Parts: sequence; structure tokens; C-alpha cells
Amino acid sequence: MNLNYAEFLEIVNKRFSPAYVFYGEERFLIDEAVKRLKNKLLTDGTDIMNLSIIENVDDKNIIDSLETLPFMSDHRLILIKDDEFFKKLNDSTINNIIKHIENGDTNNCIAFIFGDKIDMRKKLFKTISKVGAIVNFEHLKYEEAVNYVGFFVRKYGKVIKKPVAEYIVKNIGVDLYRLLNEVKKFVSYSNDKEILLDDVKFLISSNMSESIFRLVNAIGLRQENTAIYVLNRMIANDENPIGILAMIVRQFRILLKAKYLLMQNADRKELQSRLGVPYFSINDIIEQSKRFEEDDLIDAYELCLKCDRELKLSYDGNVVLESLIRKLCN
Amino acid sequence: MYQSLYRKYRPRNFSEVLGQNHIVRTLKNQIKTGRIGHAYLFCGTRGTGKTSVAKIFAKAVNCPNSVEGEPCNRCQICESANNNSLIDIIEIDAASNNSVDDVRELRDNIIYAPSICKYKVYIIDEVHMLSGSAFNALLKTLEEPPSHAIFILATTEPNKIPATILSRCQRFDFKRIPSKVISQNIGKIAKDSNINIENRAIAMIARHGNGSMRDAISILEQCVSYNDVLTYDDVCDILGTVNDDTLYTLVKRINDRNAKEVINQIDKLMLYGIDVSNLIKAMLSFLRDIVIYKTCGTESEEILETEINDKILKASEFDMSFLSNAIEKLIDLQGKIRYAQSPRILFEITVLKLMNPEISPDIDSILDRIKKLENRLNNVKVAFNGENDAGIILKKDVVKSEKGVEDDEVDADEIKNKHVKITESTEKSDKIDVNEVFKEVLNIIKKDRPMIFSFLSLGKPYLKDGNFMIEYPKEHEFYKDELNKVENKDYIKDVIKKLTGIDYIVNVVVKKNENDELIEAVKKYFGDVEIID
Repeated sequence: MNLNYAEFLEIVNKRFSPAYVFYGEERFLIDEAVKRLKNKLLTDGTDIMNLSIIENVDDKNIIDSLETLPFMSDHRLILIKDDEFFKKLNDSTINNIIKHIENGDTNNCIAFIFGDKIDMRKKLFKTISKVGAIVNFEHLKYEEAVNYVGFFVRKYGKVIKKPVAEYIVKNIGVDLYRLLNEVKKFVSYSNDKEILLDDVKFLISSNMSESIFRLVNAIGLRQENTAIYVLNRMIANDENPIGILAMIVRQFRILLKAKYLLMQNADRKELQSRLGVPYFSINDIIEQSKRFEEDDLIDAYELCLKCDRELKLSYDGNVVLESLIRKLCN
Repeated sequence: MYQSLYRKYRPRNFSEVLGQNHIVRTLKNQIKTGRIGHAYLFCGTRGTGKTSVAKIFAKAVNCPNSVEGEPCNRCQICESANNNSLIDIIEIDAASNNSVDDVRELRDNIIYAPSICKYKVYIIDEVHMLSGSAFNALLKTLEEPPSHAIFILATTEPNKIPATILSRCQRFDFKRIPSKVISQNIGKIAKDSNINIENRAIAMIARHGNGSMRDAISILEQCVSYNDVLTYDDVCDILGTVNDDTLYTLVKRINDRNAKEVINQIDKLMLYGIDVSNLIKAMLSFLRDIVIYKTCGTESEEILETEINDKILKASEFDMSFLSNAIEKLIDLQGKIRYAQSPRILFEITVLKLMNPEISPDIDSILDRIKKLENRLNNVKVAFNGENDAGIILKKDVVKSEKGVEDDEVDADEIKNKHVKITESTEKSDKIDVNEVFKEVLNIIKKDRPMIFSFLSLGKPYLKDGNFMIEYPKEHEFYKDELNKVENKDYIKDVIKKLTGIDYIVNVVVKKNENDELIEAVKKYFGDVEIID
């Protein structure tokens, strides 16, 4: 069975499976899932005896622990956390493991945890998907992450309004561990019951992506003073000037492409797929590309090239970038 | 034993930490409520208080008499922490212990409970220096640390830390300390250590600290032994920088193209022992301040983190194109100067070029010259306009006096006007937008004779020698033949006439392909000759 987290939660208490695979980037939910599994399989008191975690696999240790019997309990749980699992083991060991799983032995339950995508064509995964469960933990959707922020805040006995939670997710991203850590900060900071937007703005970890987009949008809209303001904030936060320049170049590349596509009367859908940018930013890009003539855009490349050379000759980053922005905006 | 100032005045409790109120408040609340995380990441530029806060926090979580999250600094634990002799606070310098083995050793030791304190606190400084595999080894410990362990990672470069580590830590960003706060603290320290120092000099030091308290205090320490009473000029001397007054005069002289004075001033500055690259740097930052003030106005104080002084206000009268040209040139110079044999000559030449843009042919100087020209032109124009107005007034007077005489000529004028109108209308017809007319024509024909319309709509109209041409591509030759029938042609002609009032000759033709055109051109040139391929 190939499941997501919600489906896993439904089946986990209903029946025992001999094997599970958890994979994906969302480590927080994987850890939650492992906790559930532990609660289900192990009883208090004997859980240390019946849980083995293998972080460095070899041909011997997995088979050994598969052949160990549970101690004063019905089940054992074997967690395998090694992304190089298939490189380290030889085929006969893997076949042994597969045989063990096919036997349907629920006394020794085995759970694999992988950080990356897995190759479903492998025989091991095919077997597990037949008799056990493969659960995919990909990054959450925006709305789900917002809900989780609310959930974390309530766990600490405080409240948060939805726009504030959205602001946090926009700035931090959807990684739940990071969100949890940020929430812990906000909860400790505010003395009130509610977490306010002002506190959050003050305390939130600076996020490169948000301000870089503000910067390039300001340049695209030819708002010189906003652009210079944002640039200086970023440099004060130790952002790398060459990195900033790369993003400015990227923006102009997108604008130039958009300009040509618009000349051919491309519609939004096509623009989006050809430019490879998210759909919500298409309007911005169309708006911005109207503010530049084709020649301006090509000149902008020249200016960026010159700026690049200057940065790499280790001139003073913010002076060089400021003069670039001044030229691009006028 | 002499202890350097910045170590002597390192904060010992949270209330002495300056400029990081948001972090201090959060950490104090966490200690108060017992919600202590097991991994923290402190990032920020040097001298913003990362290590200090880490030390205070390590002390405060373990202090048995802590009040409101503050360590008492009196108990045995606090005292031994202050002497760096507490074995449960482990400071690791990741810059020199960056291998996997060091982290493995840490992992092996962390499982043992603290000996006298409640928590075992690991402060890992400069954590970005750890090697890749060391990070991975650390990650395993960070994921499931024993409950008695607290990690505090401090770094100046959070972007070098793997995302997996970042997501396990509570991250605190230390902001640059505002120069006002630094000034206050420097003033306090100076008073405390009996140093006589001018307020302006303090501001200068604070500005040079660039958001870092330690840098500012180090500069103060450097200055202490210089003079009994430290003045603004002393500090400028020691820092080797040039003060704003000098810079303003220099820039103003460049703007006024007073070459002699400029060279004199540079000579004086050099005699004074000021380094050329320092001078360029100072000039650049001064020019930048002006430009930012000119573009951003009131927001600029926040950007520049200094107050706008009267020199900058005064300097903002300079022209933007002059300023940006100057910045451009100086940036360029800054890059070249480090390879130069004699930086001073290079600098002087650049300054001269700034004053005489004629010397250098690059675009910025030319723009500058154009700007200057435009200004002069405008002046001329203004003067000229003044004359013109006077002329008109004069003329009007004449007209008034002659009005009686002119009455007879009115008729003639009217006729003239009519004539003009007529010619105008014919001119207009020449300039008609053929496509527009064609569209109208099509609209009329569509209702009248749909058959002709369907033929006509594929054509492309243009005007040639007063003939109304309709052109078809080769493959639609059939339409041409059909439309060229006399009755159809006349009908189209009538419609066009009705619409525009002009009697066009309508010609329907087939577009020639390039070859035909070429051949025709050849024939035209040589007369009717036979062409052999």
C-alpha cells in the first residue's frame, strides 16, 4: 500500500504489518509516525528492550535483530535509518530481509526511514507495498502548514490569528520543525495570551527569499528608494552581494523572455510554463515587463555584467549594487 | 593584570546586553517558564553579543537563585561560570575542533549527566567551520539529545549551516547594534574609566564600530593613550579617516571645477599622512550618503544608521549625474588602486577627469557634459523667451494701431483661409490610413454584396501613385481575376468614393514573389532583354 500520512494514521491502529517504509522531507511527521508505531507495538517498561535503532547497516546486524525474539512483549520494532542502505548491503542479505517480510511475521516489525525519494521498482519496496505500507511524507501544502502553526501555538496554551500564522509560514516555509522552533520563540516572547503580528515581525528569522523578491520587484517597478532600502537591509543581514546580483539578473532574464512571449500574444498559462515561475507572480511579471522597453532590458544585461565583474574584483559590494540599481531604475 | 576593555565590560547578566532586547526577553521568559529548548542557533555579525548571550544563558539556566530569568552572579555556580571554570558549561571552538572525531568525542561524553549543574551546556562557537561529516555526526545528537543537554551554536554565517541542522534549532538573529546605543555605552565606559572624550568623537567611534560593540570598544581602547582629552580630530587621525568637513570642501571644489584648489588640498591631505585608498573609501561613503539622502529622504537615516548632518544636507544640492559619475569613477579607481605603482597619481588623474570630462570619452562623462550643456541651453532659452515676449507685446501694439487700415483686407483673408482649408482637406486624403478605409469599405460591401466581400476580405490594401491597390498572394490569383471584372471593380470604386470622396483607380494585383521582382528590376534597368538562367 502506498499511503500518505493521513491514511497511515487510519490504518496504524487497525492492524499489524510486518514492514513499513517512511520516506520524504517532512522529518517532523516521520518522527510523529514513528512515535505512533512505538505506542502501538511496544508496551511501557519493555520498550527499551524491544526497540532497536540501526543507523549504520551491515550484512549482519539487520538479520541478527530480525531473528531476535521479543522480550516480555508481543512485538519488537526495528528502525533502520540509513540512506545508503542499498549500497552497503549485498543482494543475499536483502533477499533474506525480503523473505522475512514475506513470511508476514508481525513479531518483528521493521521500519525503514529514508530522507530522499525511493526507487519503487526495487523488489524490497514491491514486497513491502504488498504486505506492509509505504508512506510518503512530502512537504506540506501551504494551508496545512498554517493549520499546524495554529496547532503548535494552541499546544503551548496561546492563541494566534490566521493572518499572523500565514505570515509566519510565508516567511519560514513549510518545514514543520522550523515552524515549531519559531513558534517556541514567539510563545516565549509574548507575555499576552495572543501572539501578535508586531512581535512576530520583530523576532522572526530573516528569510532571504522574501526580501530578495521584494528587491527585484522594486527594481522591476522602478521604485528606486524601496529597492535601495531593501538592498541595505539585506546587506546588513550579511547577504552575499554576488547572490543578490544573480537574482537581479534572473529577474531581467525572466522579464526579457516575458517581453518576447507577450509580443507573440502568449497567454498567462503559456507564459507560466515557458518562464517556469509560479502562477501568482505572472501578473507582477507582466506589469513589470511593460515598464521596460526591449532595449532597456538588453542594456540591463550589460549593466549587470559590468557589476558582476566589479563584484568579483572585490569592490565594495553595496556601493556597486546601489549604483547598479540606480541605473536600472532610471 | 591589565584586561582589555571589551573583556572587562563584557555583559554578565541579561540586562547589560545592549541592542538585542527581543532575544533577551525571549530567553528570560523561557527560563522563567521552564520551556527551555535543547538547541539554539545564534547568528549575527561579530560584536553583536552572540557569545556573551550564550554564556549568560548557560549561567542563568543553571543558577539556583535566578530571579526573573536573570543569573544572580553571586552563587558558586555563577562565580565559577564567570571564571570559565565550570565543567558543565563546555565551550568548543569549532574553528579549531572541526573534525568528525571531535564531534564523536562530544557525542560520547554527552550521555553522562552533569556533575553539579542542572544542565550540561555545550557552546559551539563558529559552528559554520565544522566539516560536512562533522555536521552529520552532530545532527544525530541534535535529533535526540539527552534531556540534560543544551546546545548553543553561534555563527556569523548561518547560510553555511546545513538545512537539517537549521530546522532542529531555535534560531535567533542578532541585529547590528544601532550606533546610538553604541555611543551611549562608549560614553558610559569612558566615564567609568576616566577617559575624557568629546561627544562628537564618541559618535565617530560608534559609527566606525559599524554595528559591532566590540569593534567600537577596541577603537576606544586604541584612542585612550593618544591624548589627555580626546577630540574629534584626534579620533579621525587615529582611524586615518578624513572628516566630513574636509570631504565636503573637496567634493564641492571638484563640482566647481576648481582644479588648482583640489590638487592643493589633496597634497595637504597626503602630507598629513592619509592613505589614498582610505581617502577614496571615505569619499565614496560620503558620496553614497548624499545619494541615498537624495533618493530616500527621511528613510535614509535608518538605512545609513547615522544621523544626517548639516554637511550632507548642504551637499545634497549637487547634481545627481555629477554624483553618480563621481561614484562610478571612484569605484573603478578603488579596484585599480591596489595594483597601482603610485596610487596618488592615479587618484589625482581620476579627480582631474571628474573635473574635466572632456578628457575621458566614457558614457558617464559624456552624460555629465550633456547635462551641463542642457543647463546652459536652458539658461539661453529663458533669456531668449524673455526677449520674445517683449517682441510679441510690441507687435500687438502695432496691430492695435493698424486695425482700422486692415478692415478692408478682411475679405481677402477669408478667402485665403478657405483656400487653406481646401488644401488641407486634400492633404488629409493623401494621408488617409488605407487600412482604416479598407475596413470601412469591407463593412459596407459585406451588407451589399457578400460575394465580393468574401473575395475582398483576403486582400491587402495599399496606396501607390494615387491608385488604390489591393494585393493578393500568388495562391489566391483566382480572386484577382474575379475582382478585375469591370462591374465589380466599378462597384468597389464607387464605395470608396462614397466613403472618402476621392476618385481612386482601383487595381487588383497579385503579389510577386521575390524572383519576379528581381527579374522585373533587371528588365527595368537593361531594357527588355532575354534572361538566361
